[in-house]
Amino acid sequence: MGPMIQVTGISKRYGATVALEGVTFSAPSGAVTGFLGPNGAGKTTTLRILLGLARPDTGTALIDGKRYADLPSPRRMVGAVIDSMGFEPGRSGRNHLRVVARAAGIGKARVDEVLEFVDLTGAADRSAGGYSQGMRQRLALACALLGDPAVLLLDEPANGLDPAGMAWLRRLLSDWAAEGRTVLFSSHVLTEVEFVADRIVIIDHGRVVREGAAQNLYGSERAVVVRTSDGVSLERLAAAEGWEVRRDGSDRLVIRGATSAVVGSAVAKAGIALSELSSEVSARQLEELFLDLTMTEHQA
Amino acid sequence: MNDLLAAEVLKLRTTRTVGLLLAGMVGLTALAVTGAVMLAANANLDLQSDHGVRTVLHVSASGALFVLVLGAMISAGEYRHRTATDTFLTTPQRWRVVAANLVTAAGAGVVFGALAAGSAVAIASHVYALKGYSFPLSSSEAWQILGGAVLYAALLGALGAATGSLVRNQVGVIVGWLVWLLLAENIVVGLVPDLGRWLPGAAGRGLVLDPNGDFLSQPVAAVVLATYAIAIALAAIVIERRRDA
Repeated sequence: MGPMIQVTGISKRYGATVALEGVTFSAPSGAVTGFLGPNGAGKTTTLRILLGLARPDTGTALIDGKRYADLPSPRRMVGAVIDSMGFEPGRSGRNHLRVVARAAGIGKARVDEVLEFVDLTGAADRSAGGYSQGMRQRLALACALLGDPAVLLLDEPANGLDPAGMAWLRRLLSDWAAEGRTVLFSSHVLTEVEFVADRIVIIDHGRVVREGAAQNLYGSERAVVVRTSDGVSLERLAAAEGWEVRRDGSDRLVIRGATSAVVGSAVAKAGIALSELSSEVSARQLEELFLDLTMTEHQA
Repeated sequence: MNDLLAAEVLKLRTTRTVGLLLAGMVGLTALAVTGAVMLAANANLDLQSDHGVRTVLHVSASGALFVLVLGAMISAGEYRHRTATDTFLTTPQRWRVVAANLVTAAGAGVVFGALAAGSAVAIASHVYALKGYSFPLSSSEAWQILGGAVLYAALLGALGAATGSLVRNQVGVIVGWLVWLLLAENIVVGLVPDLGRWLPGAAGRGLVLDPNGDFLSQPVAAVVLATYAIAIALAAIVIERRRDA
């Protein structure tokens, strides 16, 4: 079986503006895929095409091997939250869900379930027009979950969430993936993606500039951190081995160009005593990678 | 399709404006009929003749404009409140959505039209009595007009929904139709009299046996209005196939 979401060579123009150019990537089941890119990179357009809301000029966007419109029961296969969703302001949250459930042939009991799940039961019978932004977001999420879908597509789900809401969302995304579902969510904020995504697709100016397992994306960039009182010997060793080394405080050194295993054995052979040996991925590193990729594209 | 229609009905039942529109329609109908009886009585018209009944009852269709608004709300309102996205995610085959909107609006038109017709008869009977007449309830003319008024409401609802699907702008659809029905159509009729009878407003007057002019017969008028609604809905479907949501 192929990946759950497969986007192949989609291009889309709006007049003279090229929104997407040959976008290709996939998102497998059982994993959280972060769709990362600056604002205006084409994330929303890509998701809208996957959902059949917009048509690509060329290319295909398939979910479980089918176009969205060809899914036999789309609400039961895909749940989506995108920012073009709204609510009739006079209708209650519960009735909004009942309308969608009715059209999708989903029972009323499920409406109560999803309301409970997003913690909106107490406000369910109030007009959606009076909801706060966080409540609207949770209502949209409840709506996406109505069909207990195997695939979740979320466009900038972290927008408007407070830190507690963010933590809740992260846990949710991981749990869903752990249940074997496919999760694809977009964000322009790097730190939102790196904590939760198993895979990352980076898009910029309508093109995918990097795609892969989150670890691999910055695996080669991963730094090895050591602590030693004998910094001078270590620097000499690093020079001999061809590693890049940088002092970070009096006894802390950051080494690039080797894995922690390689550093560990070389240091042992050289007889240098270490008080710490670890590898780290800093948010800053990924941010540099991200900026690097998107800036390069920008200049190209 | 049944699920979709049931959802459309649920939407109407959970939208506050629907009740206001119904009240507006019934109220306007009652007012129009009252006024028409008064005017006819003052003009010494024989209120019990067929001509009298036509003069009094044909105005019962005036409230149908509220159903046109309802139709536009059913389709274009989805864009106004941005619920169209959820609708298309549930039903990606957009022709189904266009068709369901049209059928729902027409159905709502029948219900609204029947309630308005009922209020028209009640008010007419009452005002007739005040003027010392008895309303000719057995007149087939009266029931033909009221039936036409119900059908007119259904078809205007369908027209509103179809135009709303095509234009996607609720206010634009409502203003456009009001300008057409109340103003522009008269100008076109003045310029091209032969065409006039076939235009939507004039067809509507034929449907309710309006005595003031030469209009299409009831069945032809119904077919003409239905054709307009279906043609606009088909145009909307063709465009929807290419349009982004």
